[in-house]
Amino acid sequence: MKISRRRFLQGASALGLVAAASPLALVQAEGTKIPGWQDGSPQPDTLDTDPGVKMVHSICLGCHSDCSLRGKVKDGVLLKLDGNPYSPMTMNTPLKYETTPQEARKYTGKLCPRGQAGMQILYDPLRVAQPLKRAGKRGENKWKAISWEQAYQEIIEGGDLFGEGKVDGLRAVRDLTTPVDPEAPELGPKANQFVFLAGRIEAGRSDLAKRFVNAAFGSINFFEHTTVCEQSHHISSDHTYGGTHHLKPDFAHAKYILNFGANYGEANFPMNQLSRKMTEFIANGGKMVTADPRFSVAASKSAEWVPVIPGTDAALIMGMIQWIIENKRYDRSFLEAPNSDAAKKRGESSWSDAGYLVRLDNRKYLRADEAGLGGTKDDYMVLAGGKAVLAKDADAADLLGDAVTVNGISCKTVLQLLFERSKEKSYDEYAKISGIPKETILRLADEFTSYGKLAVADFYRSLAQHTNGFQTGRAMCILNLLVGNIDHRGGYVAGGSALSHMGDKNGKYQVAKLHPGAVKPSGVAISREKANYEKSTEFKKNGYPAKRPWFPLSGNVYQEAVAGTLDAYPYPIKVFWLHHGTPAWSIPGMKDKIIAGLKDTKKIPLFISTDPQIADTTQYADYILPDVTYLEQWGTMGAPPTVIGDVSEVRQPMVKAFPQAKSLENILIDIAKKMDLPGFGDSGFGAGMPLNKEEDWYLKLVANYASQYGKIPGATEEEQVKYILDRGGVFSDESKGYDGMFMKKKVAKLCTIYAEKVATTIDSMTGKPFDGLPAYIPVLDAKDQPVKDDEYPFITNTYKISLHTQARTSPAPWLTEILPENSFEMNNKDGEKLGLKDGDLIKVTSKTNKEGITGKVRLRPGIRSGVISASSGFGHWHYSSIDTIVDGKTVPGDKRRGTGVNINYVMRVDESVGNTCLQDKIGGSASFYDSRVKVEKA
Amino acid sequence: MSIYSFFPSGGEMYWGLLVALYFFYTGLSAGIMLITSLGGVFHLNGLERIGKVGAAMALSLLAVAPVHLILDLEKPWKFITLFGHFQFLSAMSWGAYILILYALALVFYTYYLFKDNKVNARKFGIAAFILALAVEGYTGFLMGNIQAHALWNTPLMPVIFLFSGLASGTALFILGYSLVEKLRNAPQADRYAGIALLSNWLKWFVLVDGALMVIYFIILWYGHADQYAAGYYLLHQDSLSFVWLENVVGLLIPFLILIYRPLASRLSAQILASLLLVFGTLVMRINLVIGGQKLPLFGDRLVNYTLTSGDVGIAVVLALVAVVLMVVLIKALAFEPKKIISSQGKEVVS
Amino acid sequence: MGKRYAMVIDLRKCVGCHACTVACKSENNVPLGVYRSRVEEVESGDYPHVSRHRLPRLCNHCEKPTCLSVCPVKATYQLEDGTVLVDYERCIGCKYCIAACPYDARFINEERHSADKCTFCHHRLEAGLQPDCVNTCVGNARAFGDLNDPQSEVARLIAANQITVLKPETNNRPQVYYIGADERVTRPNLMQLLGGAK
Repeated sequence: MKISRRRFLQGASALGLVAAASPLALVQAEGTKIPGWQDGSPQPDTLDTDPGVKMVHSICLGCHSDCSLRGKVKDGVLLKLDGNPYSPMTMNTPLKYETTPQEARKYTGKLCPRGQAGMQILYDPLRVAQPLKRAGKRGENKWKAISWEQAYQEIIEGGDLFGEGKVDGLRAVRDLTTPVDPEAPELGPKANQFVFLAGRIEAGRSDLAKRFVNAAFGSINFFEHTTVCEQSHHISSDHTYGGTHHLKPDFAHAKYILNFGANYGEANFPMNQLSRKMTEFIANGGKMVTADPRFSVAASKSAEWVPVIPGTDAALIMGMIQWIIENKRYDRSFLEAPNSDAAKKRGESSWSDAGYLVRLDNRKYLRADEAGLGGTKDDYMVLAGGKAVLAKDADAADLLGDAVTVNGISCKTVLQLLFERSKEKSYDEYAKISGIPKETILRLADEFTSYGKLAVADFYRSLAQHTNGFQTGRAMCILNLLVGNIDHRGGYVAGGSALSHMGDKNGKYQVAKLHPGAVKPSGVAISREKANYEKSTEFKKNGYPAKRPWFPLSGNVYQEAVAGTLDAYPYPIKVFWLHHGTPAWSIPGMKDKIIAGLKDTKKIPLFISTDPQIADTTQYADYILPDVTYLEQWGTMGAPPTVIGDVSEVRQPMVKAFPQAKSLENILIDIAKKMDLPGFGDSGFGAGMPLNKEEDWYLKLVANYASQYGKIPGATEEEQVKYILDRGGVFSDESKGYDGMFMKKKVAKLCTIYAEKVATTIDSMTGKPFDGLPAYIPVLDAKDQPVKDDEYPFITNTYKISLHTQARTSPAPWLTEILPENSFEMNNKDGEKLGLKDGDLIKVTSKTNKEGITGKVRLRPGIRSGVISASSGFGHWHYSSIDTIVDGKTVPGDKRRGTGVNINYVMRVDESVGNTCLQDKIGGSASFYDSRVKVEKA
Repeated sequence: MSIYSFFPSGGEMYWGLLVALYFFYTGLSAGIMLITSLGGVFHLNGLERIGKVGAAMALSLLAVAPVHLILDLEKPWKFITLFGHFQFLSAMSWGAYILILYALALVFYTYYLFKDNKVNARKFGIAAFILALAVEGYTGFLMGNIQAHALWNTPLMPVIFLFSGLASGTALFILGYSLVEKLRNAPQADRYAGIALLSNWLKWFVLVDGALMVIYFIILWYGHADQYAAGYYLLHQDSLSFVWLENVVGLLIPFLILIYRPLASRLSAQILASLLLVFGTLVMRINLVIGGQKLPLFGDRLVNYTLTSGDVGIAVVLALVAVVLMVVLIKALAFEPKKIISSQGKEVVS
Repeated sequence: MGKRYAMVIDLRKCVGCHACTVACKSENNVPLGVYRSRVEEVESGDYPHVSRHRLPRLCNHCEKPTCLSVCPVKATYQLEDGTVLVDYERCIGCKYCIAACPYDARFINEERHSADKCTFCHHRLEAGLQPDCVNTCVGNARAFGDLNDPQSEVARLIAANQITVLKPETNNRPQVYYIGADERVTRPNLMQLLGGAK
């Protein structure tokens, strides 16, 4: 029986004993010892109540739920992670905030498996222990351990760093005056040739990184990874709920939840609290229906599973909308109110545009100045009893009716337009498209409108990460407007409140403004996001289509930041800084293309990665600067809207496991100081306010919590900060989240069925405006050509299990031993037709990956026929699953990290533009659920 | 409708080869003791001569048997703890005492046998005889008591152990004794008639053993779900080992040889039958111990057994030790070569 | 009346996430490859009529534990509160208890050279804390407490719900109670596993 047994060392004195599990960088400075795992004697752990134990309250990052965390530390070694008992995120009945930390030891909060296993990420012996510089060609996985001083020197000053010719360092790239392209000055200065691309970066940290990249260095190119996550969810919510981009059902009071593919119980936000909100919702008699091609945990807890064909949810929803409007089952009282006052009279906090008039000629709302009835261009128009009036003056708007002509302008109401849009296809057509019987669609519409405001429709990434993600998301969001549940207890809600760590409005330190000499970055991002193609020189020269799509309505377009970099479009870049990101692993279909691009030192002259691991994409970097893990880090976060209680958390270092690792914050501060960038150093925040180390930054952010909350005990700022740190943040229980029958935190804005901004924005690839109303749209490429791939019969799907988070949980043996490898999952009948047996090896190919990928198949009944899925978190080629050469010595890899399959690799490349996956041009999302593949026995 | 398991389950099997060999050797020792004491203790007509060789063999086998179990312990050095207490409900606790008492009785029996102290030999022989029965019985209860494993959990288990012990013990004794005679170059005509008698008995032991296996299997087949599955496992997944090696090669063929008169009277056939029987019993012990734990209590995978080279090494070494002991004991005690070579049919004790 | 500890696992609330599995590993320093507490999960049915069933399982701290009676050295013992424990020092590692436990709850801890299993987090109970799996259960599926106290959560759950235990026929009288347990996960599907008929 081969069982590798590992155990944490107890006590710093023993740390020197670890020789068997040698850390990656073998050449550490003298006298530094890296604690690690080793076989050990199993004396029982110190109890939470042991006064010799230090409890550190922090924030988890097992996934991005940011659950409130508590670590048990003794003699500098982290022994156990638990949920923070002060927080509603991790405790059913959180402790009163005043409870002393000593008393709090008697209580333990909840954590999911990823959270529990976090210590194995911290103490992973294969973490990068010291800065590494590549010793061979890019990607050869040969490294030289160097000092931080050398790393800084070379990154900042450049030179002939690899014997391959001169490379510009950061200092040379920071040119704030010379245009990057003299022919197209709108693209901004040469400083934009520095691209900072973050996979996982969170508040506090991202704020500091933006301070560095945007406001100090002066590059516009700071990106997060949002479009490979759920961006179209956010953008479609924004365009429906008055700019609020994340709402959740109020599980405690809702009666009916129609869940479109949100992965409650496995992932979603926050998996931990959401799991019990779901189970308690059902135990209390709530009815949940889950639409998902996979029989997910949420589906298994639902009264009904609706196995919709991937990418066709809009057909199902538009069918429901048609029925709801046709049968007048919408919440008329809510929809009629055209303004805030009318809404208030009706007991509503938000109101809608359902009765607003839309011009049929230019797709804009009719404005009062155009109607000739007084008022301004900021006033919308409605019909009241058939008469055009200003929306702000009406008590109730007509909702439906034929076109009217106002001041010679032909208009219709928004709800009428939606109704007509929904009728463009018949119920039978919607049933055929979605694979869901007409009776079911109509029944769901009936059910959904039978619970008043206590019915909620919810979704997340699986609806959003499609080429039609934005429009499908909008259709889904509109369902909630039709039942008028926004801001209502038991409705679709914005969650609890968080204090502003940056102190933007009323904090003691308005940190972003405390930035003497701040630069305002200018130009166009390498991803062409938040920018209009029509303003570019390229447009003036070439017209439509653009070379690659532009994303005027989205941000953090991760896959296009990479594609733009690889295509040198709209300009070539010089320094590529990847932070905790792995685009080659995570962007659908692009693994080989991204790797080839990253290896090209002409396209990317300098490639820096800040990462605690040699992650799959980091393998191709020139320099790896070892970041700390989240358990050695600072941060400031709020909670997702599932959490109704107020949560303003602080992440703080529990221990420091790898002495040579440096936080991103300290790295950025060091570099900024060496480069004399504004906003850092002895007077970083202004005279007498230094920003020399991460604590200088974070203690200000925590002080902002204190100043805004106002009731933190303590005579001085230090005392108040300590009070907060001792509890891991500022919390209140969930009862504080309600305001009578309403939520305390409200959208309280105009909610829109019609997305005017979208309808008036031009698609850079077609020259046509986007659509302001949702519809079912089949899979399209960037040039709006249908992507059919009929000879590839299966549709890809992917999901997150409770054991893994993106790329970064594979070093935890407690997680990998439960499910040592994932598999392709197919319907058992599909498998039988192909002559497959459970566990067979199969090859999966697509039109753009004919070589395909092979892996084991599992045949199960709980997946729709014609769909092939694989859970994420597997299929690593590096992440220390392979041997690595450091200073000529081989550091053996750990094969357990490299098992299973990553279905992303076989997903479809959009050949109409190349270099990226299929994507949603409005929301910016990368498509994970539209690719068609073929399956054969391998 | 099939059941799909999301997470692989099924750990490693903990009782393996060494435990099976423990049962094998204790069965042999007790079997030989039981059968040869008929001559050595009870002076059954025609079997008087076999007592000493039997005692030597039983003692040698017993000497190695518990070593398997001790070496299988996670803390071999703490095996002595077994004798600190008596746990009334634990067959293993009973076993520890039965085995030590059996060993003591066997040692004294052997000692007095060779001292030609008939009175004491008889006293200790009777004790050893009863304890040998207890050894067979307790090993059967040790497994039969275990509800967790359907293959073990049958009241027949002590009886099965008794008869498979008798059959394999008799067979091994025939082999051993024949070898002794061969080594002494005893002329064919001078062969001891007792062996023929034992061969005759052997077929009855095999018949009972076989009958028990049939009964056992029928009850499994008609038993509750787990029993049926265990029977199904034996018949399908484990058929090579269970059906063919254990029962056809190890039981049926020797039985056929022993009942087929033209063959049954021939020494070579008796030896072949005995060899097959001993082999079959070994396979039976392995099938029972390892096969019995194969079916998982939860989940969708058979429990995995990994044969380690360490265990194989221990098994081989201990088998050699048993053989050497037998040779030494027989040589030193049972037969003083020169005197025994005389074909008087009389035993001469030094 | 003294205490009688028991656990109630409401499977309607179990999401099969394995938080308990990992928390137990961490709290109790359980070596890799073996578990004091783990979760089985199966899916069954014919598309689209499918169901999923979960079973967190651990030592049942039986009232009449086979493991205790088979132990030849009395290394396994039972406290007054019903908790079944192993004296790791005393255990000689004969593995008889492992073979005898009908719940597959025991294993050899190769660090201790001893049989090992769930202790109901005895060390935590002594300090007034709950077992870690109960604490961490994200679905609120696990409850732990004194069966003899009618006000305890476990007693109330047992009184109010239809409950089952695993393999009652073995007469071990297990003290881990389940609400909503399904045969498809509480027993292995041996015939499917053996490739035989149903």
